[in-house]
Amino acid sequence: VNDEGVRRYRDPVLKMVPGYTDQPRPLTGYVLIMGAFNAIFALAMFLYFRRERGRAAEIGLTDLIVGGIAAHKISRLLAKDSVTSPLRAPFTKFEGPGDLPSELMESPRGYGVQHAIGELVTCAYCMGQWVSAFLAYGLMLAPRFTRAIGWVFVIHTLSDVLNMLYETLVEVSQKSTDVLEQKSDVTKAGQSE
Amino acid sequence: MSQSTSSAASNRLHDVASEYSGDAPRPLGGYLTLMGTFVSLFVGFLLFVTGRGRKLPEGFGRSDLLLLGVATHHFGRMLSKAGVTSPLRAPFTQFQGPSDPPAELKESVRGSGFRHAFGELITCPFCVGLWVAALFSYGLVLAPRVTRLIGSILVIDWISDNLNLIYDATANLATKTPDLREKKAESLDHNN
Repeated sequence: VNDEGVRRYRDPVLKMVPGYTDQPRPLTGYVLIMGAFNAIFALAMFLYFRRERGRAAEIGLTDLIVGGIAAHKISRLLAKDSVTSPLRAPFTKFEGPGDLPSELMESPRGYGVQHAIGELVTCAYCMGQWVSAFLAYGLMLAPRFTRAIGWVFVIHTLSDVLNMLYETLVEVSQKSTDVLEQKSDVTKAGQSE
Repeated sequence: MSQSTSSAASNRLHDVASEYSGDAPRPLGGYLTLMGTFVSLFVGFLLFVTGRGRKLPEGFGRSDLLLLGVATHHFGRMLSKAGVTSPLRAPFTQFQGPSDPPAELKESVRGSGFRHAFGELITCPFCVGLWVAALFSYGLVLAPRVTRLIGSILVIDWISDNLNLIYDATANLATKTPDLREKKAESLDHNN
């Protein structure tokens, strides 16, 4: 079904740039995504200037760091986590479990706009841009609420890092036991000879 | 008279260009146009600021420089390499395939003359960086809050991207460690 669709589909933006590629690149989807992002930016600016009337909301260094760490965590949660997969399901195909705990591998499906959105929602780096923007708007429009959300995810990140460290330690101790066992096997073999 | 002078000058320019380029089709005219545009924007900005009876700030704060420096790095890559911005580059480039960094594409420049020069500019983060840096600086003078907000979004995203890279690298290491262990075991077997 999809092959037939891809064959028939003519991307309107791609048609305007002959010579760019023969492949079905979803340029129209990209244009819509960029348009939506910038429209939301304009809306946030409008709300901010209407409400604040000259009072500056400062985004300080702590906000940037907390926001950055939170954006990392939220973007992975949205793009990869198994529990958020129903949100991605209209645009993606399940491929299997991911490399990291509680993460899935999914690929974008369909063509055109659906594929472009599928690329966005399966890519933590791409979702990061949207999450960062929303965190920044939040810091301007509702700083306390946004900071609270930010801290939740900073704490979550810390916990994840500690879990990874713990698992690495388990692996290292496991490895050292293996090595010790091998050593004792070797000495036993030497004694028996 | 003036017409003949100008045509003589343009002949002279053509001579310089062909002697310089030889057989390689260097887009010198395109480069000149780009430099001209950049300088005109700068002059236009200066006239705009001073014309409104304002003065340029004595200097930028350190935190603004740091913020916009990181933001320029990130925005430069986004404009010149990201998949989602490819429709903006498509009239000047040709799609080659996905690139190694996440969400980035490989594209080559096509066409000749100004089109080629502009294509070189917009596929190169280092080259776009200068324009982005200049526009951010003008923004900081004309609309500091909007500029700082855009900078903040980009810095937050930059931190997030770096953490995601580290996180993915840990995953790669973790998945590759068993392979390494098996290889080591194999080599131990061979030695025995």
